[in-house]
Amino acid sequence: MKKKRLGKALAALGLCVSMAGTLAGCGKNAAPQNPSAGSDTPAESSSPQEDKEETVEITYWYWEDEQGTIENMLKDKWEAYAGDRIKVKFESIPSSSFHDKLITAVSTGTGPDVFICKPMWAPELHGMGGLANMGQVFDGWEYAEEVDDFMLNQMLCGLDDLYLYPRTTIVMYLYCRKSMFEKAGIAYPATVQEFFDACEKLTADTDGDGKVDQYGFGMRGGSGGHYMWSSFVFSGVKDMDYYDADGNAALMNEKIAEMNQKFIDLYHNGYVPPSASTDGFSEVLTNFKSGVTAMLYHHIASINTIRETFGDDFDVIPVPTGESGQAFGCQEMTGWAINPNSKNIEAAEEFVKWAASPEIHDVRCEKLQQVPFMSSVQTMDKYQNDPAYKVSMDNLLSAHTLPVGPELTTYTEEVWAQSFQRALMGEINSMEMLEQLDQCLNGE
Amino acid sequence: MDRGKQTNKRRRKSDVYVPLILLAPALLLVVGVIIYPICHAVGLSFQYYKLTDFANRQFIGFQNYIDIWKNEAFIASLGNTVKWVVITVALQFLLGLGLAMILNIPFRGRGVIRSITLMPWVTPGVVIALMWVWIYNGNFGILNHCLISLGIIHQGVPWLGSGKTALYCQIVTMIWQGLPFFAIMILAALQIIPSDLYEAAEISGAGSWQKFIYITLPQIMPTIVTTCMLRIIWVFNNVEVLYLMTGGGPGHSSMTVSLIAYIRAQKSLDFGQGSTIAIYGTLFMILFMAVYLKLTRKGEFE
Repeated sequence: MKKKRLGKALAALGLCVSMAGTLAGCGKNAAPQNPSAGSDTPAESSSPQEDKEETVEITYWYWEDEQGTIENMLKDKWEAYAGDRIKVKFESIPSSSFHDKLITAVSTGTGPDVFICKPMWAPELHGMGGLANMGQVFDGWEYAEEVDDFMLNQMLCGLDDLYLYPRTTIVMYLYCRKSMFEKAGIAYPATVQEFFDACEKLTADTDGDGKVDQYGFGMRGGSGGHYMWSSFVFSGVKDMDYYDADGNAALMNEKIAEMNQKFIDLYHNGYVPPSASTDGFSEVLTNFKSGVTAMLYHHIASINTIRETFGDDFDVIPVPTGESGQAFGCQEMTGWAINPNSKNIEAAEEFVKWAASPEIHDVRCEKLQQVPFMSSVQTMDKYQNDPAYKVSMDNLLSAHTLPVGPELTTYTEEVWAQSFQRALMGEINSMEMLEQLDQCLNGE
Repeated sequence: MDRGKQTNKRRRKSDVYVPLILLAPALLLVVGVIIYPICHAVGLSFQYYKLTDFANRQFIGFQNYIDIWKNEAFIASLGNTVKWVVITVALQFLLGLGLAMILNIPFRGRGVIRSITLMPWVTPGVVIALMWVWIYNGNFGILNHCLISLGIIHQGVPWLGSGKTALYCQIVTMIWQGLPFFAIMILAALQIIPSDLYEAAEISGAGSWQKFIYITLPQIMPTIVTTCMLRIIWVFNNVEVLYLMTGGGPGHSSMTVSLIAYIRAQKSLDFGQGSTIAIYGTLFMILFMAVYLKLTRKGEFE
């Protein structure tokens, strides 16, 4: 009985082995089943089938833009460009979890071949061996001359070479409600002092019920408000930046404290909505669109929704100039990065070079409302004749980016909002707030 | 004789190994899902481990445990956490008990009301947070609109923008979300109380209040203890509502221990200090758990 069972098991095993062998023979890497296989004569080794290039597949991670369509559009354009030669798998990752997933993937030696990368992520990714060097690729790129050195310096992120290929940039400016300024009888602010005065004059009880229902400016005290804060506060000192020449945070300065107090006083004096201390982007945008505020600090990505709401009843002006005679504009960038663990580095490089080319840059700037930074795209009429693009491009090369360093995320995500909100509530004074920011940036 | 000894030896061996082999999958799961992450977090808490400064990660002993006490946000979060947990769970319990008592009375449409009552509990925390942010909005919020219409206030109040009201407003949101859980749990306990206890009490001349104190409350006490402790743990660990509504602000006014651990690790990318705060949080929760186990065991004996 036992012998019978053993025989059946052996027979089944034999059948499985023979089936596996047959299946293996069907694989694409199977040896040719013709008598001439193994022959090394040129005529026999270059059959039309083998001449055809093998398809390379790479993966690209991105996060959806607000429109949610741009990457799909690029997908079609890429397929038209590369055909079956290089297949790109477009994978959309939610922006909120993009960084976490990327870090996890890179730390395990996996991850996409190409991905979008913010400059502030570059040092950690570089430290983990998650960024391929793009310096030589960029130098040999036919469009390299079109990118200004300023942009490239920002893309260096303090590293020894170029690891990010420039992808997008946005420059902060002010949206102003034309009708509100006309009603108040004032001109758009060119200086920070004029901006503070305008905030006061634009704050009003428009329906005569004894309550203020219109405020001068949409202050953002919640997360992300550090951009507008730096624009209005840092412009008080000439050549001001987050760090001094020795690399130490240099925010504790009497003039900066004075400007900071003036900015805080906008809240204390009621020239910004009382909810400003925790307002985030959606709140300040809603306040502006609904006529609660007269000025909004943002960038070109919101131009469509502002136009849809107000038509011509708004203007775009650059960030005002401070007492130092300089404006402290801000910008935010993204780049493309290649994973050094990619098995198809060359294909990944070709994709990045294509996606960064002026043709695709133009599509991205127009459809995604980003600021053109390639010279041939900047000169296009559609950008030159659009005030929002024009103001952005005019201020591109003087706008500051956040310093890339180990303390940056603590500064932007934690300490800035907490200390600013405490200053608004009167728990700490202007200089104490600056001291906290200084300590944070110095890693103390 | 020798063969008998050998068989016994084999049996003893199998008595040891078989249970271990059978338990192995469950043990591996526990090690992989619970033990390893805890050990990893403990390991991180002894390191300078910032993803933004990954190359300089190093062992620093108890430095994180000492440094965190210099952090004003962490100090503020301790008091806030006590307020957040105690007020939320206490009011959830009292209101949940009241709601369960009402839902236990037979009336027409009770099934529909019970289903509606569950809605806040099944709504995702993110949706709840965003919904309440707009309810509390200082310019367009419906709460201000109602209060102004009723003549209670004359100007919109920035409920989440003030350090005096932000935490309490979020406590109200949390109470609204967790109330149905208490109500359903207590309702289930109420429905298994034998009716003859009430009949006997009525014959003895007991009034409603006496029946509630001497029959209802003791009967549902194990459920109350268990539910309260579960809610203490869940409310303590809640991050989404606080993070989405105020991010712990304004200032530190609504910062809790779990929230600061989340922000420090996931937003500031300082996994060393984030883990340290989480370990402190775990120690606080172990104290709660000790009380929890003691009370639930006591309930079992009763």
